[in-house]
Amino acid sequence: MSHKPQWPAQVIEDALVQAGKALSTLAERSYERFSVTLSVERIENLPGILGPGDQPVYAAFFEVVGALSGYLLLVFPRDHAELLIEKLLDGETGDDQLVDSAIGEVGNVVSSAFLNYLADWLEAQAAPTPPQVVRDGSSALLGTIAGFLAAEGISRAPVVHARLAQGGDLDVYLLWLPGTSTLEILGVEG
Amino acid sequence: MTISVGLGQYVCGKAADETWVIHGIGSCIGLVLADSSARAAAMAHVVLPEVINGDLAHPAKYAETVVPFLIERLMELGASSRALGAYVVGGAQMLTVARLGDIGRRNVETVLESLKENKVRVFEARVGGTIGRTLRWEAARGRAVVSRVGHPDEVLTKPVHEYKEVGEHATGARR
Repeated sequence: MSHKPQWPAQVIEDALVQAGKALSTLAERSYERFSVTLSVERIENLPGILGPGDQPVYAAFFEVVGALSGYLLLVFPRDHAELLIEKLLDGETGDDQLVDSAIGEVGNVVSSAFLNYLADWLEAQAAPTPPQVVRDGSSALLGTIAGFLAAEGISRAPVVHARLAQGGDLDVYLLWLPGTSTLEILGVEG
Repeated sequence: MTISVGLGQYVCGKAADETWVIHGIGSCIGLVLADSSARAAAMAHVVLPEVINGDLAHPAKYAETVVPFLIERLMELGASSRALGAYVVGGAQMLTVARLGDIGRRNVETVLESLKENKVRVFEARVGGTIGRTLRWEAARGRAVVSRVGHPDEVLTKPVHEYKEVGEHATGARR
């Protein structure tokens, strides 16, 4: 069950445009079309937000500290991630550390573009931790984040769920779960 | 019929033609308690080690309250507490948030301690590491199966612990 909070939708869409441009530059493909859902989700629903079951994904996770606190996640369906990595690494995909490093770097570039736009617009600091790269199932990944929220006593979480599209394939998902201080700055009720 | 057990939820029942499943267990715990002679079992999706905010309404959500709660439900189905065995899956550290510590490890420690206090044997455990796991309980056969992305399924239940007869006195899952 979700409902629509009072999000500053235009600001978030503008930040997603910046994220799409950054990804387009890296991938040499256009990721400038996107769809976005702004909602408040019960944490029980988070593990299924990218679809039913446990979809294989690659992801870069960031804890964001500072005034714009929260969690940010860039998620690639596995097949799409492998195509992107092959392109970025010129086919040198046999080294797991190199693959993780490339996923982390894509995450850094895209998340920075998104967060920097918000930070500039809101005149607030956003400091993401280094990327944590996960290659596993979507439910396990999102269930772990739901566990973090539960440990903080949060039962319902505002979620920005965006899909950066590239003409039908190589889609990428950006999930942003702003923390309490960010929600206050944005004027969003959790 | 497949029944998905979400965060903090539980199911219990007897040898019905059902599969109970917890998809994608990361730091959480998938816990099954079963009495093969009574052909009764319960499954819980445990999220956190300790109760927070005085939440007594969701005992299956917390490692410190789940075991006695499931034992009570199983006794109502005719299980014997002395015959119970446990399957424990999950408790990984897939991601780190320093201020929250290792929730997965604390979940594992708390569940195992509670099983010991309640004199429930651990039949099998697949815990820790940095990987996600999916746990299925085949309620008609009394069989636990664990799977991981990109790996073949692993049957946890030894043949001696599978149900001897299938389908008799079946009772579907109750939440």
